[in-house]
Amino acid sequence: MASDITALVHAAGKGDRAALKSLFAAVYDEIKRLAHRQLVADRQPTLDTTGLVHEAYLKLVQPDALVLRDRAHFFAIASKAMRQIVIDHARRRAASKRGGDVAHVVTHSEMAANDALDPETLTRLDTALVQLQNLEPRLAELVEMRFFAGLSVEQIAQLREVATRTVIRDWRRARAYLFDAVRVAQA
Amino acid sequence: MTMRAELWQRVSALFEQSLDVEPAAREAWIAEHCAGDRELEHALRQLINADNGADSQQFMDTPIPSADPDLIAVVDVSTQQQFGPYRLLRLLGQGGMGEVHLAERADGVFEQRVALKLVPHPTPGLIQRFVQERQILARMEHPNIARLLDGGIGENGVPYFAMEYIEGSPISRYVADNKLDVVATLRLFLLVCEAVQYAHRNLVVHRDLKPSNIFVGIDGTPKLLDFGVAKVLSTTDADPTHTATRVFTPDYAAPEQILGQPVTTATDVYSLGVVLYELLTGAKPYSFGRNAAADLTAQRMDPTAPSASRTATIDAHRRRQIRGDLDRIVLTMLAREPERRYGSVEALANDIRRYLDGRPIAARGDSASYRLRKFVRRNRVALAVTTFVALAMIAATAISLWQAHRANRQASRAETVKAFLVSVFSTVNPDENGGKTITARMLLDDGAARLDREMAGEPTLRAELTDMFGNLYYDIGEEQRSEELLKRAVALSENVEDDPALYPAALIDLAQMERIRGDFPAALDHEKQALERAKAAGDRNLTTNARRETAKTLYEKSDYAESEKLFRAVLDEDTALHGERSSEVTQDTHQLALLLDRLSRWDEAEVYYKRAIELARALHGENDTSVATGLNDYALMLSDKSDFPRAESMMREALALHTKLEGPDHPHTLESDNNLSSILNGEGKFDESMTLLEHVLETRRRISGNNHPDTAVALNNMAIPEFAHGQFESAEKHLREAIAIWSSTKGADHPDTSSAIRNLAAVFRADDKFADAEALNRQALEIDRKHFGEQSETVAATLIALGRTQRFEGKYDEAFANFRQAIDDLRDAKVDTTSTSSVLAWQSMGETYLMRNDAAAAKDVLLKGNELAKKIYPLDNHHQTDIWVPLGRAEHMLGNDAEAEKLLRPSLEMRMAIFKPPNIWLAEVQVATAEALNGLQKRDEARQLAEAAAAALRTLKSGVSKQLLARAETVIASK
Repeated sequence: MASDITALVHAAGKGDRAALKSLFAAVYDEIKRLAHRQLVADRQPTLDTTGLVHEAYLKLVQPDALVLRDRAHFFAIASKAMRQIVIDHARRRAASKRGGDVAHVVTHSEMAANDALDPETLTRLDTALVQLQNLEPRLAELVEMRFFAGLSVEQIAQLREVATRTVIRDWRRARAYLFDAVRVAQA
Repeated sequence: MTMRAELWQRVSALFEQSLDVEPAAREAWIAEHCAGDRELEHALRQLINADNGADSQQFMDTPIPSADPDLIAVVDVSTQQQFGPYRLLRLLGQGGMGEVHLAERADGVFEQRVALKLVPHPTPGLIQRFVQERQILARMEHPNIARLLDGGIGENGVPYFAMEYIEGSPISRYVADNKLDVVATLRLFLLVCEAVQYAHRNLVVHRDLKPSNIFVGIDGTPKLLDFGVAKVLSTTDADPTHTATRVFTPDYAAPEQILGQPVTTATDVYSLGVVLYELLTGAKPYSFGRNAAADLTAQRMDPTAPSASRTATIDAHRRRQIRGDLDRIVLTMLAREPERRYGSVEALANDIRRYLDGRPIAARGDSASYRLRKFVRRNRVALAVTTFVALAMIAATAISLWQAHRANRQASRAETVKAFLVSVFSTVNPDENGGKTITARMLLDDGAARLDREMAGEPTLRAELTDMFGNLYYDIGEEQRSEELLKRAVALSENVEDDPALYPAALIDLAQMERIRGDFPAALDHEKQALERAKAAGDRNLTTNARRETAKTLYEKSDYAESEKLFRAVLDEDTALHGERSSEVTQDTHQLALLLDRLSRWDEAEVYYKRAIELARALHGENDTSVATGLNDYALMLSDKSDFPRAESMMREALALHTKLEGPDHPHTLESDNNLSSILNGEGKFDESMTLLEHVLETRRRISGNNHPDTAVALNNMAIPEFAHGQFESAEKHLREAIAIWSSTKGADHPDTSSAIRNLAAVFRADDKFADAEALNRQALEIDRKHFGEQSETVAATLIALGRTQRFEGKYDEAFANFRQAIDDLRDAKVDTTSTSSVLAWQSMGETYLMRNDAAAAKDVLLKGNELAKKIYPLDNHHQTDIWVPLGRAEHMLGNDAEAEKLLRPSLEMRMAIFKPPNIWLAEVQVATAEALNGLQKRDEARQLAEAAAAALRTLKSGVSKQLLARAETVIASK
């Protein structure tokens, strides 16, 4: 692995953009480990959400994307990546709950307390989100930014160049739709 | 709630309005606004109910990451839960090298809980250290050292070993929890000293002594853990620098560890000093991590005496107890120079015993002059904001970059550099971020500024770090800033005396940047200087490296002959230096293959591709990206040779490997997807090819976004088969989008932009929009001239394209002038006998003469083109027909139909083997052959060919196809 990274670094230094990207991908794994370590060793109850978006940022970053003119665009993509990370993990956990392997190292103390975060609910939420995306893509994007990436209403309003009131109203529409969809699917 | 978009629009608009309606008035409001539309009313009520339900259950109120961080921190620990007879129970800790899990025997033989250590992400280096730790532990039989119980390799190849599991707590917590007094603390500490002393007698230096590695069991027995970075001292120790380690814990590391100087038993004495300080006072002698990097480098300040520690949480009584002898003992342990510390742990333990016995101690304490040593003031941390993830990511990149870059560099500065990097990326307190965001650029700017300030007195370090920051700026796409720093690094390293390799290495980095920018003279100049200095320094690796880089620049500059010579020399050198089975030789072999491929010397290239793939497999096994890259490039060459079946199967192999190793969305995978599509297109599998391209485009849009250069590549590539199949409208649409993206991301005058412009010109030309095509050709020419200079292969190709458009406008003189200019340019650039553009220039000139019905002149120039084509393409390659077909037509027009048949029949065969109708090139040769055969009175065959061509041509729409159709119809109509 180290020699791979070395080779990638070498290639990246020569202007090989693909290598640069896979370099970042390789380092990304390391970061996930660091994040994990932070949680386990330092027992932080939560992660800085902006930090996670940045994690996504660096995951997706291209050399010339770092001077990003279109921040809104980036945050949308990063938020989508966050959604992917969360949902992938929720799927794995939902699978293990259904009698798959029992591999989990960290304890999920908050799980019981918050029903909405149950892995199975999350995967249903993801399905509903796909439907919402077909109806009104901007709403789905908003959910990704607010719920999955943890951006604040103000941040989103700024990024979208709309009033916070608009974001709040959009949010309520999206949330109502999803709540209904998740509840129906559950029944 | 699945519903139609139209209904959703109406419902959600009403829902939004309803939010402003008083709950009491809502029923009436709903009835009024739904006006009897039951479906609408039902859906609206459902949504309002859901809104209430979501409110009361606080549905999605908390963003996921804050609510459940475990969802994000994807557990990357090996999913394997069983190692040999042990089953993992929970993670106890993680370090730079591995993880320690609580585990239990699962084979029913014993009931035993163990601490299982494993390397979840093994690398050769980690495994080596891991094995060493096991060997060290196996030698340690001491009551105060955790015992090694067992070891092995897990099913997935992850090595592990089991150690005694100590139920207890780190020594610092034990001392605090049990409120041990000074005497009890010292007695406990003496047991630790015995363990360390035992290790030293066995020639093992622990190198990572800290409270979390000293556990005190429930019975009060301290045990030393984690010999993961321990070092076996060589009895001879011929090369002391090699004992320096790259891994340490900053708070407890001795100055010599930070400085990368030789590590001895005195190193452990120092760390024990930090531990003792902490045990006595509850505080560390200094806090690392929030300090300026300078603290880390040479100037680690002299600590305050434990009794005077301001951060200590001890009472006056304890302070008085510590003052005097214990101060002196601790400060002696913490002396910056190893030789001023206790000579051994035994001597230290003796002094502690003397203290406990009330006897005079041996330590003499510091002299005043020593104390007055200056230290650099702590800097206010200037980085505004951070989050640990972002920082750690850049830090990790920086460090791996640096390691790669300086793999062969002397070890003495190693840790200082690393420490600086760590400090740049880790000294920021996340609480101070004030919610602002930080960019990589901000981090680097700050680091670069700090290194100028703090490294002013360290010319070597400053030069090396400046160079590294230059490379990092390149990585984040800040090319100008990168070049600035690389230039400065060159200037700074020129007169560095203690590391002669630094200057040539900096020159090479700068040259790479210049090559990327296309400034070949500057790059070559710097590479030459690098080579001279590397030679003077006697550094063979660097010498070879400088030559390899020169070869690459020559290649980019299209100076292929020189490039090849040099590549071959480098290959020989690397073989001598590293052996044939080495990654250097593999890379050189691959490079040579690419060069030969570029020169269309395919038979030779094939040998090298095969060799490179073989070497990559031997070195890394079948499942390695280097194998996939080799297969990909080899398949591309086969495709150039029109050996499509082999190209396809090999590209599919490459694609499968990339998908398996890197996932379906990875850029490498998408490149192979893209290449496969071009092969499929070449085979005439148009639909399959388009499906693949659509997939690539869709993925690019999803992964990289709509305004990203990679998306532009996909768009551009979509247009090529569309163009070839007469789908001009969508080709134009895709190219326009590609041009817009490239213009906005890379600049309107970037060569990538001009290549798409040139493609669009070709679409317009084929669609008979000649004036538009010419305008675009000229635009592309202007960009390419600016970028590549007057005489270059690219400019020549653009000139030819312009001429090929102009001839359709009847501007024959201008067209000829441009073809000639291109031929001259290619000759001046010394690529006239290697570039495929040469063939195209002569071919275009010949075709243009044919358009003017000047068959004699056409024959003249086409014969020249034929000579070149024979040199440039293999004889059995279909590109030979590019010349043969117009030449055959010239012969036909000159009345030499027998000659024409000799040229056209094999052309027809070759094109039939490759192209499936309807295809313009196939139709072209069919018509030309039909005309010649008609002249030879072979009427039936002629008519058959002409009819086949006509059928295809009726489905194609370009101006050229109309002219060909007219010629085919003439043959059909002739009697």
